[in-house]
Amino acid sequence: MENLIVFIPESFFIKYFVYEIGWNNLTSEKELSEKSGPEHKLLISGKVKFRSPGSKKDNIISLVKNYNPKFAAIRVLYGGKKFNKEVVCDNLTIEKLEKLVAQSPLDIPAVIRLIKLIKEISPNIEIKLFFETAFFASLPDYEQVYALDKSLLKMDIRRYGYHGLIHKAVYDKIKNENPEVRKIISICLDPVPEIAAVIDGKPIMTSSGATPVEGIPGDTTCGELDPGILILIEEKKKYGAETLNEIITRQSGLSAIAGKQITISDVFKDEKDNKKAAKIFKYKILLQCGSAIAAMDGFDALAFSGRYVDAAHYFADWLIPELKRIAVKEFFPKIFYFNDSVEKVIANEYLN
Amino acid sequence: MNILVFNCGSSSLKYKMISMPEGKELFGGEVQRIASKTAKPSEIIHEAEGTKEIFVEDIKSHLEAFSEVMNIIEKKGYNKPDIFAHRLVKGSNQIGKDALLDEASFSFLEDLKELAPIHNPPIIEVIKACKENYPEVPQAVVLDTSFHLTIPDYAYMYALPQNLCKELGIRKFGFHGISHQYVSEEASKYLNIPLEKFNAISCHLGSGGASLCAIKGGKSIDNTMGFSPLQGLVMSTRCGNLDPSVLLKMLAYEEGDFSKVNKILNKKSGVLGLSGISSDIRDIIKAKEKDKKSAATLEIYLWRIKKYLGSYLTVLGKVDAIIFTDTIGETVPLIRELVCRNMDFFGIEIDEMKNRNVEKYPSEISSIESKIKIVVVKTNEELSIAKRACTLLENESVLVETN
Repeated sequence: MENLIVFIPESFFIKYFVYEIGWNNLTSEKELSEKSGPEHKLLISGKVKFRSPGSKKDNIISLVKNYNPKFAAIRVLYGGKKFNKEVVCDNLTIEKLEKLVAQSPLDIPAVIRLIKLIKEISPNIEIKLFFETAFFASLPDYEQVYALDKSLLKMDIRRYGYHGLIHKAVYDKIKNENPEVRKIISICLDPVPEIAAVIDGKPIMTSSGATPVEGIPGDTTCGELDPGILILIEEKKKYGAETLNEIITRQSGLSAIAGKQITISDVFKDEKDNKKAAKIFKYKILLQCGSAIAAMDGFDALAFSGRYVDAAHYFADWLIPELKRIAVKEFFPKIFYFNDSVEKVIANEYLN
Repeated sequence: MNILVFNCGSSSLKYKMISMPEGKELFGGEVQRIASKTAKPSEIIHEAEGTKEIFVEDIKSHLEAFSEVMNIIEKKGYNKPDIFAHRLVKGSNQIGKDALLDEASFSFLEDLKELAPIHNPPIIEVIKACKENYPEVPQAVVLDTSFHLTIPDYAYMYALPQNLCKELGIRKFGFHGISHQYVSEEASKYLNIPLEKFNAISCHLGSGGASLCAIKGGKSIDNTMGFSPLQGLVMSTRCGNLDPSVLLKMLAYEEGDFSKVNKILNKKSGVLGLSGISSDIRDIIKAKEKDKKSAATLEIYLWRIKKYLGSYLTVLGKVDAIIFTDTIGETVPLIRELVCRNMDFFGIEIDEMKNRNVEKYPSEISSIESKIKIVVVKTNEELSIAKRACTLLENESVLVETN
């Protein structure tokens, strides 16, 4: 049997998933509301500290040696303009990645170190990179451009989406089983959540911005913020950019509203105890759905996905009628719950 | 009683002498394009008894505009006002609602500048000039944020550490409240729908600032502007919505100079930043056929409006009317047409002929089939300000700390 190893670099760790490849089941079809995708057998998963240059390599070395994978896949958060689809990694790829460090200073260096280490351990492994932003490369200019001076926009300040792999998998799955569906509101409920409006497979609107921080508040990310607020905080507190970044990415979001460390899933499991956080989250979702509907002039389907897709079951009953009531004609949108995790999506994509 | 109302926009100064309580406008006008980079020079449009005069001047500041206006008033022999009334864009804990200014309150004025860095500074300069030149004339301030006090907590809260929000007074305030309130009341009368049952989206599209307001039962429930007038739509020189991380990136680029970043976001972004040729969307419309950047600027400007319109239509559920107002909203049919295009899902349909031929205000420009009325209402913030200043005088209200 052959193995595939999927790496998902996150804030402090790199998660890994080793699959035994189930070649024969690649075309298996199940209901979207159930676990779906090819039946690769997950042999082992875990996480290792590998974000900083000084991190120990032992865990990854022993992992690669023990499971001897034929393929490796790495999820890359940001690919900028250089990567608008997945790529098999070669020396040129690394050169291109190095040019993106300024845009994604935490993620890209860790990815480069990981690639180099894998090649060092086992030069014959085929490494493929999957970029979350690639799906959003075709976002129309009027959606991606901020109203800033053109000289600033040259710094590749533009709007992307950061759950492109999931949104694309959601679209592919729906389209495969419901070819009549054209307009999808895709709601990815992850720690940093995101909504995308997708017409015929192309994104036309996203709630995220130049980074995943903009848009809907997440577990600890602030979401939409008046730019004047950071200016005020800096004027009054003189925190500096690093602390401000820490505040908006790790000390904000639903946790800040609830006054305790909390996830989106927690909020809806215990909505009574987290009323304010739930109300704010639902309101922001509704606003973004409204934008998505205006962007597409309607919608045929609503799809929930992401790590906290379970939370959707708690508020979908509220959201769907809210969205249906604005339609001038009665209509019946299709509702989907997509349970696949991003590592599974990557595994499927790699081997398809 | 004659009230001289001053209404400072980011690049304009409107003025009106209004006789109260009848609300009769004795004269008025607008200084347009103050210190702005547009194709046309600044000008003062003065109107009295149906006659319009235009004075072309090179006006570099609101203070200069104020002096020019007072010169015109004196030269024409009008009586001095009994009271000056000003639109104040954003108040503070000390001046948190409409108020008559006394000695103590003048000392708080400086603190207001940073709360709305484009608008409050010129307003405060004009207030000080009134005091210096006409010390015997009382002054009132009417707040733009009052109408938005009904925005619910889930819409006004930001998902930031709450101790920080409390300490620094961080929340959505919303702006253009005087205008949104005025036009929604006028539209409800015009459409014969009781205000308490009237749901609408008011699109205040000015030549400087712009915002949309979701109105439910005559009350504001959300506004595209936020803590400051920087958030929301693409405006003449303001960026509108921006990823907070971008701001930090800009800060690094400008080597930690926040005032420079502030200036870029407030004065060099928006329509001006995108087009590179003008801050006035009317210039952009004229240039769009020959200039790709202008065509793209117009698309971005419209797209942001459409997205917010969709958001507010969805939040409100049942909507009686979409209201267009202020300089761009009232006078540029193409903007109204393009905003309302491809909104079939919501049942919005504009009558292109009616839209192009608006001759009086209010005017309905929706087609017969449209499920939502589309109306153009001329805003009259000055009349609204005069009424509220009159109420203050009647109540002999004095400055109160609202803490």
